[in-house]
Amino acid sequence: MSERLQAASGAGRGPDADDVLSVSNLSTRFFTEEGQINAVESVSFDIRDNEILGIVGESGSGKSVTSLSLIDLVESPGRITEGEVWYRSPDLADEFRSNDAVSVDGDHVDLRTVPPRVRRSLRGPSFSTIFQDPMSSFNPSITVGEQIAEAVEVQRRATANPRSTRSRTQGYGLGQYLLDGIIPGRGYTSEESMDRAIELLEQVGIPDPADRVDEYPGQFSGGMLQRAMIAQALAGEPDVLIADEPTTALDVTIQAQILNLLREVQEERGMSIILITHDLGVIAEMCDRVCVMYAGEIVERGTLNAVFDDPVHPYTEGLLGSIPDLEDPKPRLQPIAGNVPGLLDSEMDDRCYFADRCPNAMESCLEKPDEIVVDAATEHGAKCVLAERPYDPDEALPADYFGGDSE
Amino acid sequence: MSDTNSHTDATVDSHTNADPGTEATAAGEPLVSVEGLRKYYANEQSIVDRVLGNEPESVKAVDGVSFEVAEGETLGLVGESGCGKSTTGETVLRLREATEGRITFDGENLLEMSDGELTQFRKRAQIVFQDPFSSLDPRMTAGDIITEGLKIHGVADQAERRETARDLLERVGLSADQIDRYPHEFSGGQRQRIGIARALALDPEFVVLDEPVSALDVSVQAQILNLLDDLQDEFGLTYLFIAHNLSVVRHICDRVAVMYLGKIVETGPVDEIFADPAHPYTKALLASVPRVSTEAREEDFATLHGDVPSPRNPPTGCRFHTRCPEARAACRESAPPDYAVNDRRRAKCFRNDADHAYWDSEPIEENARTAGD
Repeated sequence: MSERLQAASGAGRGPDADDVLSVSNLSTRFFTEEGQINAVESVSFDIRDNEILGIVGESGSGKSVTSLSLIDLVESPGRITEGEVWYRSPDLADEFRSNDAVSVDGDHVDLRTVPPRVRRSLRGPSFSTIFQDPMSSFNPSITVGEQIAEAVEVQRRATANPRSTRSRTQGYGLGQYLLDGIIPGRGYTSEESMDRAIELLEQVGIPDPADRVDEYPGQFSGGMLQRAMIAQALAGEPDVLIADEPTTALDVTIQAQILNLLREVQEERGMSIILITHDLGVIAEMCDRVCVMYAGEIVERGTLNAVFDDPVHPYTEGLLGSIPDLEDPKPRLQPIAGNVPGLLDSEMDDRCYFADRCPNAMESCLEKPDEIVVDAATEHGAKCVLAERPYDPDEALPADYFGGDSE
Repeated sequence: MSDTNSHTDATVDSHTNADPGTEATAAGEPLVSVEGLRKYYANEQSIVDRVLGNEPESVKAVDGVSFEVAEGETLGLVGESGCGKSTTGETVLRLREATEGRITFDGENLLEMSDGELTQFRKRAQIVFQDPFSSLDPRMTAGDIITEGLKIHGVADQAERRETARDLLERVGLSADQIDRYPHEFSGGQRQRIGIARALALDPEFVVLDEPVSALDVSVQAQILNLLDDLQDEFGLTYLFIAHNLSVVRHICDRVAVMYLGKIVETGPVDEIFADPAHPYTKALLASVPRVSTEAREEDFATLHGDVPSPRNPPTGCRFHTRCPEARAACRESAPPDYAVNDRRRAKCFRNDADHAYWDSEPIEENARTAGD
């Protein structure tokens, strides 16, 4: 187990057999006019069969960019500069085993090395995403049914065609477009995929699905539209579902409905979910394992109980202390001082990024900490010297070491 | 913390239909008292409608709301989006004109104030908005933003105003040197601090906090909540705290009013309501909140099914009957009055009346199931 933890923390070992996806040393940078922004910095983690992995962090911690990097949706000026994304697919592995340019390890293929068209063909049938804001994620001028049927069609054509031609049949090129303009009734979707869309809408708990497929996104409420987006994500029968703040835009009673639905579909289909959120309550209710992100790094990871009950990293402790408890209100919250850092490369010193807000910052925090195993049995690891030795007040950094800026 | 828990109201019997605005507090006269407040947003009436004599369709955003805020206490106004809580907050400050009802501030009728009186009122009541990015003028410096109110009311000269702004910046946890910076140079949490400093500049008695922390990250949210707590003690403020986050409400409020579709369905001291909700909607809201503990795992949330109905065309009878797991036929027929649960609490639900016909009527079957079935 400790071996696995080390692999996860980037010791360069290949992925394990039960990892659907194994990410190692993934870095994403944005090259903006103000300078280079290190949105994701050497992040490593794996997602196993049939589990919900939580990624939690505040805004700007890099959690969403991490998920976009997995499916290669980072747009300019952003670029994935480093790292491997191992995806388990025996078919792909066989196809590329003889290709020197592509890294293959057993059944796993490094998606960063395969051609872009292959990566593209995996979106939908292998990976799906649910985004935060359902209102802006749907095309307002196309009916909900049509948009779900499109996703069904992608899956149908993907299974019907050999991989080599898949990306071409998926595309809807200029030729197709012109042809459709001349010959009426030649849509991308078919009668069957529309029926499947109705079936999917029913599965996600939308009443009268047969009527509602013909409605436009504007006619749906926020919660209903989020259900429709889940239906669309399920259309491809993906191995990995990435849920990026799936309930943040929703009211609590609707949030509870959507979380129950996600849990149900996960159990029914045995797929793996990466749940990205800033809400520790959602993580506690849903996830098996959790990664805590801060300033582009995973600062603590482990099983839910290990991280929430015995946090080692002062940031995790601070996050947990910042939340008002519904059952047992404390007279005073214990917030983290200061603000989330800006991630501009020129402003990032080579130290623990949390040191300037950390109540327990010591001299050794001025060096970048490696991930240290806290407890191998619970896969608990933390990027903090406190994992190895207790806080020593003699070594404490002076309070004004980082300047008086931290409020 | 005020001792509103100890207030008594001997006149309330177990099923009074009386206006809940008559609730009195031990602290004497309430600072703010709202009775039967209504705010309708009417659709524009077209010529065709006028010729045909069609009534314009209106959205009943706030539909008969009554509550009181005692001096020095924090009243939480909680509910889901679209329930009318922000409209209530803004109408109470007369930032929006009420359609109907009575708002009394320190014994004076707010809705009948002349312009001059209203100006005086504005000095005593302030608001902090939800979004710290759009509620500060990007072309004004922090100092200008904070002193704008002082300038309008002609309080102090320029040098004194600047000194006030410097003091306030320090007080809300910023540095006095940041007085000449523009909003874009601050982070979200810092901007919210400026918004709070602006609200405090005129030394108000009453502050409406409209979702002041919901746009902030959790670690920053906790800082702001602590700050609001400190300022209340220091300046002797009375808060109307509007929020959708129940944990935050539990943390900061003394009493809470739960809103659903333009009506307050339950009011009372926050501890009692959270420990033992008397209205099924409050119960459902509490059950829906994901708990930050590893113990509650693997249990499904007890969810409500369906969506909040449109306030354009609210359900008849009890407005919650379309989603209520306890709903019976009686709930469809008439709207429940305000029942006194005890001398501090009220709830709009027939279940608080042991003799009501509700108990003999047929349950509404489809509501008993949970969502997704």
